[in-house]
Amino acid sequence: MTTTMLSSKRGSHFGHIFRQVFKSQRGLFFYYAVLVFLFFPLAYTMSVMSPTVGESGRKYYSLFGASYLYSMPAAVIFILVMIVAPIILGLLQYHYMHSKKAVDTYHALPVSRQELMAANLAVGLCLLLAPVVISFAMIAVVQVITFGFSAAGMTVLLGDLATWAVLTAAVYTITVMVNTLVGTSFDALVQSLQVVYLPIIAILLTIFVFDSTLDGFSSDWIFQTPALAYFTPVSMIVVRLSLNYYAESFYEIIGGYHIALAIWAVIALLAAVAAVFFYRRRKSDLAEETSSRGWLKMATKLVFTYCASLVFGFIITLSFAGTASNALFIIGCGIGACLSYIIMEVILIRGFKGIGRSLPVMGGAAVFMMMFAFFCTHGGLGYETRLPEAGSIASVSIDYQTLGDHDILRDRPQDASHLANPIPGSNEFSNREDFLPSASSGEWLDLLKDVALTDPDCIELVRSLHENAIAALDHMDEEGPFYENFTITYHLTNGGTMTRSYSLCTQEMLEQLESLKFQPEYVQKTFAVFYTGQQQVKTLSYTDAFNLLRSEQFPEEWPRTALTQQQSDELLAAIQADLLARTPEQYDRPESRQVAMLSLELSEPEDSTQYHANPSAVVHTVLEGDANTIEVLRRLGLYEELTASPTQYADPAVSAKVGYYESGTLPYTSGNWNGNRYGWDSYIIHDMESSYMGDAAYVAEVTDPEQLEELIALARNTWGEGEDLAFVQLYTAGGVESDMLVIPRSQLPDSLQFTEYSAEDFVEPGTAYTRNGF
Amino acid sequence: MITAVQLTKRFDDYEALSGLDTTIPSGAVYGLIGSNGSGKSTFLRLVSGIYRPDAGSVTVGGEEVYENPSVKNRLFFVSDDIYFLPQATMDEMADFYRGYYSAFSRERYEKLCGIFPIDPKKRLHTFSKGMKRQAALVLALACQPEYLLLDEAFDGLDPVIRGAVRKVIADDMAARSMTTVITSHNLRELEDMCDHVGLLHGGRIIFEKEIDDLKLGFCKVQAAFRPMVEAETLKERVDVMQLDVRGSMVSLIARGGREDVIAALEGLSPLFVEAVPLTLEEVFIHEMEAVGYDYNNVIF
Repeated sequence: MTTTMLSSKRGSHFGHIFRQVFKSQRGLFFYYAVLVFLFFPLAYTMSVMSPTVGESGRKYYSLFGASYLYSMPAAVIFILVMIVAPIILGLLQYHYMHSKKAVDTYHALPVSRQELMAANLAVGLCLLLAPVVISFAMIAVVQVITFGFSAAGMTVLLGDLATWAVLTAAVYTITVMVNTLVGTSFDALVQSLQVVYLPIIAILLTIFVFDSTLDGFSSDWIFQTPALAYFTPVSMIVVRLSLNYYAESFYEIIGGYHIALAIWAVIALLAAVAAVFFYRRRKSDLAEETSSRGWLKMATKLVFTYCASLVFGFIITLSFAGTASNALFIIGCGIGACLSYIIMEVILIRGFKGIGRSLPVMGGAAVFMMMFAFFCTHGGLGYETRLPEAGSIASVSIDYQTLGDHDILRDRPQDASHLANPIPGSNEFSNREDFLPSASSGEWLDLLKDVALTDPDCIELVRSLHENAIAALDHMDEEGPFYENFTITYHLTNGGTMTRSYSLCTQEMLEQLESLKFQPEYVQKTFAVFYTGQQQVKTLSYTDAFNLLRSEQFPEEWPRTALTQQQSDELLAAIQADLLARTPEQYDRPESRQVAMLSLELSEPEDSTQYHANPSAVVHTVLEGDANTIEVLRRLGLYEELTASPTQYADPAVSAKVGYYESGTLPYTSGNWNGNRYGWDSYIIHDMESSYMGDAAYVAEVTDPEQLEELIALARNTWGEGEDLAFVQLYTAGGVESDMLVIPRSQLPDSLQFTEYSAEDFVEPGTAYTRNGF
Repeated sequence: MITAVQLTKRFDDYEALSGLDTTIPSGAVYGLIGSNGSGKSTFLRLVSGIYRPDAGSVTVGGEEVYENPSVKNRLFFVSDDIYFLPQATMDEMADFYRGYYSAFSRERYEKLCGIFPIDPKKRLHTFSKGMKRQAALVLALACQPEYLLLDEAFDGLDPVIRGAVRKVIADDMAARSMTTVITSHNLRELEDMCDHVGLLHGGRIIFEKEIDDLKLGFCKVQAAFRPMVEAETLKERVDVMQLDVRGSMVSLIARGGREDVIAALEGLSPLFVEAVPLTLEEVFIHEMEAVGYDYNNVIF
């Protein structure tokens, strides 16, 4: 008798199992591989082969993602395939565990479960990853042929490959692990989805609940980074595809992203090890079992209950909202917990039989959820009212709000050297002659997001503001609210931090916030002029209040003058002194008009960790009350030029337009600002565009010299609370438009005091009136 | 030799086997009988290493079976609910098993395919229940196991195929000293094949013996009397265990040797008297009564 002895080494069946499993899954593999090929390498190849060609002959590609490998909408299908495939494969491949007769066959085979699982895992990973690796290899070849070899492009491509490999493997191994713990494929599907997605849903819901119920809690800091997206493989993929290689945030995000990816790689590995571990201990009789027992089922049941009960609580509260909304939320959470727990039980045990045994846990879950809801709706056990002792505060940070000029300070230069190596497939790569010079600085500057204050007066002011915020919790309706967002972070002497955010203010809190901005430390840390250090103002550019003064040599630019070191020091000292001398009262009821705008062009910093937005220039607005600066400008011989009437230095054919809205308010401020308390703000002035004039109800064009002089004398960039305003803009025959300034309508000459009924009748020589919209 | 010592297996709150003890000698054909749910299949799954005992042990050739591939390589378990790979043919299943069982014989497989009327190239899911069972038996025997575990092996087989299966198994036993364990709730099915039988009830083997030993202690006799003799008269002459009188025909099971009982009855001048074979069921009923079990509490 001839006996075939295929297994040369007893106990080693890895190769045989591998071949058998591969054979059984080859159909799925074929469809998966075809889809991946169609919607990834083929779509990429077609995209790079058919770019849009601009008029200049330049090529533009419609690829996106950090690696510029993906084309829409092929990417959408590709992502779906990559998300769904590991779960489907996991369910199909390990379906045998959930069939009693299949278990009889597989578990009677002369092979250890460890070997059986290891071989299955190897097959699954090969099936999933082989098409991806081959696709990336094909794309790499196409990329090199089309664009030439790019080390940067290849690096990002490999990063994408690692991302797909790790995340796909993670979803697959988690699905496999879940398969080893449940009795049916349906449970495996439900539990896999729950394990992968429920944690992030629970976290988001918790944040939402805290955000909605706890005063002082803010989720803004959580959502400022994509960290939450790192909790699920799918959102990880979305983040990767939405990364912009050329964006300022790229390097900020990519570091954390790689750490998250490494963690997912560890999770994938741990899930694979756990799958082997659990499979070795899995009872064969678990197949086809539909009980709701087991630690995994209990965990997912409870997390589902947590999420569903919160949603139910909100639905109940919104449906029957009234004075007892807190009580409704608590009751809703309790009812929701019972309902959702029973729903999960029924799903897991496929019926109501034996549901009675679940009642104790269901009751416990309901009590817990009601306690949690009580916690959220009743101040979070002191969370809302906690105020650190003054002595325990080392410093305090408050989110940065600029007062006067455009400079938003930044700190910590970010490495942007990668911009010198654009990615093939991006338009920056195709048009690098235009792109590279802007990236030549090799560094990016980060936004200064908040102001750290250590001065005891500042700390006490912030603490008092916080105290008022706590005190106002119960009577905000009577004293406000005024909408004003601010976030306070205490850095405590014990090394801890405490952060609270508020979006509503009382009148007193608004005044405190305002006065904080005039504290010397706050001013010093928020005006760019204080960050110039030992730098010299090499050149001073300047213009008048209308921003109409131009260089004779370069009509598009402001006039400029060079400064000596002494002049530079004097000017910086004067500006700093004037900024520190400004008061909230001036800010509230401004009497001081804008005199000029200065641009200080600085030498390169020598040793500084902080910079302003434009390292070469600081823009500063000079007001009538800035005596020190005005004195320096006088000494420099610039003051007379800056304060001369535009009709004297500009094109004699200067004209003006005056317009106003029927409401009397400015479009930018209407509805958003409280009682015009913040009416004076050059930011608004600079942001007023010519289109406002076009949108106005009434516009008068003024060419009469006397009227022009009158308007110029009245125009200002400040106004008081409740003032009815018109706005004015000057034009030269050369086509230069001034900034828009305002004039209180009460001060307009009678000839410009037209109304809806008289405007069309009001025509005088040299003056033309129109009524927009009529 | 298969040895179970205090073998226990629980399914949640239900204890399927409770301290089962048995020894199945090598080369035996062991019939395991018992009512539905008595634990026959559970016992075979424990022997084949599918289940892990909750207590006690089961060894084959002195070695634990669970997660022991070298022992499992000598076993083959044919379940009562047969599984084949999706869309597989018998040839493909043969390839599947060939990679696992070191003793798999292609020659034997082809020979068996010739004995049983099934097409090895046809997809198995198109087979009838009986054909699937034949396929499973062919594959099992092609693996040439030392221990063949058959769960309700004859379920769905027609009498001709049953005979063929019995013969093939007998050939394998003769050629390779194969040990076979067959479970069934049908005693007649095992009667002609087994040399050992065990009755599983309440999670334990309550009775087991060699077939030959079973039939030595009593016999079944049929006789006709005219006029009919009194039952008491019959009982005075032989040790009657069961008596059935229909007209002039008497059928009785009595303790003692066949010749002795016939001789005792011939003294009553019967029209005829002859010994008839005892069914396994009849033997069990009386043996169980002998060890103190009430027949009425054991439902087959």
